[in-house]
Amino acid sequence: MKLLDVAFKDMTRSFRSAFALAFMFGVPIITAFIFFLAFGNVGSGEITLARTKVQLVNLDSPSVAFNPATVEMPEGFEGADTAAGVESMGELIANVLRSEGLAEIIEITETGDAVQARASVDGQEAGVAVIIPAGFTDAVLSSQTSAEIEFYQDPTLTIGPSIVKSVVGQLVDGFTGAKISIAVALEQLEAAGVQITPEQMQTVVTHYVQWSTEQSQRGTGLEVRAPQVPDAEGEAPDWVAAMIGTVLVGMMVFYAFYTGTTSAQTIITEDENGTLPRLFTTPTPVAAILGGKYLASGLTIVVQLVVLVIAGQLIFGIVWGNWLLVVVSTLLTAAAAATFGIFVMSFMEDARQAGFIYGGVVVVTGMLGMVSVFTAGMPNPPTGINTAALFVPQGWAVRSWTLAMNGGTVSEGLLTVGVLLAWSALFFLVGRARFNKRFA
Amino acid sequence: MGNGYAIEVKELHKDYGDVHAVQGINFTVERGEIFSLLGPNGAGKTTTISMLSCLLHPTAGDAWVMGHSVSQDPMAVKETLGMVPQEIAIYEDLSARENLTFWGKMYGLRGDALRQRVDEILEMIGLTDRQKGRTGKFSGGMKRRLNIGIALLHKPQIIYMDEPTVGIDPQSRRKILDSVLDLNKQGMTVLYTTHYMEEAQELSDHIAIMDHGKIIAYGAHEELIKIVGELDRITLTLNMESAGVLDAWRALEGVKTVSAEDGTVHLFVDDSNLVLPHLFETANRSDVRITSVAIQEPNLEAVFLHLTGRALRD
Ligand SMILES: Nc1ncnc2c1ncn2[C@@H]1O[C@H](COP(=O)(O)OP(=O)(O)O)[C@@H](O)[C@H]1O
Ligand SMILES: [Mg+2]
Repeated sequence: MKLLDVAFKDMTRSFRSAFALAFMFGVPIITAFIFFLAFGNVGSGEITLARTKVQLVNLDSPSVAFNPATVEMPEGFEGADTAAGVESMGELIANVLRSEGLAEIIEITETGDAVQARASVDGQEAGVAVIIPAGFTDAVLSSQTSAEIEFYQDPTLTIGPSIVKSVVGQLVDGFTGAKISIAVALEQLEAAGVQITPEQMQTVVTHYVQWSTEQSQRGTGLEVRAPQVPDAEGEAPDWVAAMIGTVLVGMMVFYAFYTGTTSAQTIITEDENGTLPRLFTTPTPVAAILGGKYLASGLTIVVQLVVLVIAGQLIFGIVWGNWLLVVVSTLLTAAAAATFGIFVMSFMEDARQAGFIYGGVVVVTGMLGMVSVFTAGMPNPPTGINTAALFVPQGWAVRSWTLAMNGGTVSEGLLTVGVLLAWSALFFLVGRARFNKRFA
Repeated sequence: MGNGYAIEVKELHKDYGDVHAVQGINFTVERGEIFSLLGPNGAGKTTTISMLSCLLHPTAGDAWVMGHSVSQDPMAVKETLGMVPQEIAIYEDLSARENLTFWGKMYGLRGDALRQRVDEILEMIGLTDRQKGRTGKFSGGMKRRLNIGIALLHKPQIIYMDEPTVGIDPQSRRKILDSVLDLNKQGMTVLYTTHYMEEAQELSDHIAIMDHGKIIAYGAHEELIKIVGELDRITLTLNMESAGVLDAWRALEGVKTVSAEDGTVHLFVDDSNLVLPHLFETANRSDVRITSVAIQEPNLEAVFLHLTGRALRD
């Protein structure tokens, strides 16, 4: 109970400090906003993005004839070349990815070996591997089986892979949209005892696509989503949101750790101002006094992150892919940042060392942790630089948020979650032991 | 232990590394009295009071507060006492009411009882009208009063006040001294530390004079004065330093002690009227001129000087 009273008192003080509020919310949002202004309304394609290296593995070999006319081509790729003479869905996708329109953003390397393609992503030689399975066309054409294109991506990259995903997604969506409508029709036919061959189905699909395209041109029926290629005019394209997302994620993590450090610093300042010794003269256990301060730090960061997540969505249109992972990232970042502060401050003898703590420790580890934010716009990031981020907890927090933004699953993030928990536990145990030795 | 005393201190020691801040002190404080620790800066007063409030662990020895050992049962000790720290310890970004409410919770008060008590204390320290204002904007005197009010929230049996009048104007100082007397009248035991002998003299039932971590004298005011007995104290300055003159004065009849510090000479003598002419005579013979003379009745200052050879004030 007294622990909660202490936590409440600390949070009241934090949220009353204009200085703390500025660093908690103002600076991260303003920084992201500056990027938004810089990139958000450039429709001319003047900025050169780093080209994402894509490993393309097309294993698709259909057992039935494939008619490219059944695929609703994304805007900008309707030209006859892309689809001419194509014999499988996989080939069509490959053609689109190879097309000139995307050449400025992605660089395709084709191999026949999925294992090797994944390995080159692991080795950071490629940003994403797109693996089209052998039965892809068949699965798309059949009403029963399903097959998925595998996106194997470097979790620290955001922009390149999201463009690739968006383009491929359009192609597949156009097709599976038809497939679902037809599957319903087929079920009804089968129920009525009518058998249908894959060739017959193609004909049906062709008609369906024609119909749905006409519908969408009349502005009714199906929604046709254009892929957001960089030279699209008007609205800020997806990759700008992704770019700002990357920046905001970096800022969120950096300033979460900053808040963790300033919160823990109140242990030192309260000691020097005499309120901490005074607390120790009240009949309140030391564990409740320090525990309350630790809790306040964690909760303050949770509030900070929640506000920034919502602001990111409302102001910059950032799409958070996986909300469960957003929640997990919030809690774990708060835990890691709060315990980081406790750990770092437990080594601080008096307020005069604050300069070193902030300049030397918080900034250096923070910058290292969000190095992927800086390299996101770099044509050829030095190999291993993104790995360096993983030497600091901030790097893992950034990784967790990037994964959440890219719609990764919690099980994909399991390693990251585990590492963040381990950092937090280590920081907490050492920091708490040192403070207990000092005060208890 | 404790034996009905409010505080009983036995062979209490505190070392900070090589610094022996408190070196085996003993004293008892009766219930309901005002007890002062009087001593110059660095004497060990704050260290002592910190051990008695369980903020510091004694290096050796023990003390009992209302019968509870500070080393064995610190929680029970903390329940009984209210601490007014030497430096103001309040949250300047919270209002007076928020401060009192928070500290009240730390003393275990809740709900209506807490609200009522906060109202009472605000009234008592005269901050009812300013209860919602940020305390960072308060004057020094207002902060001091809040600093004291916090210690009274849980109606403690004993209150510790560590140099509560340092660095404030005479008017606020008078108010604080009156409030100490007031609290004592209501039955509260007060442990007070100061380096102002007038405060110790005015307030205290008993005084312990502390120097270099030791208690060098202990008793009621009148008892302490008897240490210097009926001696008069003469303070004078010379136009030059002269060991020869001081030695000559020591040899004079009726002169008890002679000590020199920073160009000022202190003497304790049986009767200043008889001795004074001889002092001038002796000085003249050595061509030393006496440039100022003061004669004082015995007081605590004199006691301290007599015991240590140094003036109490710094
Ligand atoms: N934390 C500390 N570390 C080392 N020495 C200290 C510490 N606190 C006090 N001292 C020393 O202990 C002695 C007594 O100090 P203190 O109890 O504060 O005296 P007072 O309150 O009578 O002025 C002084 O010499 C002081 O310098
Ligand atoms: Mg002191």
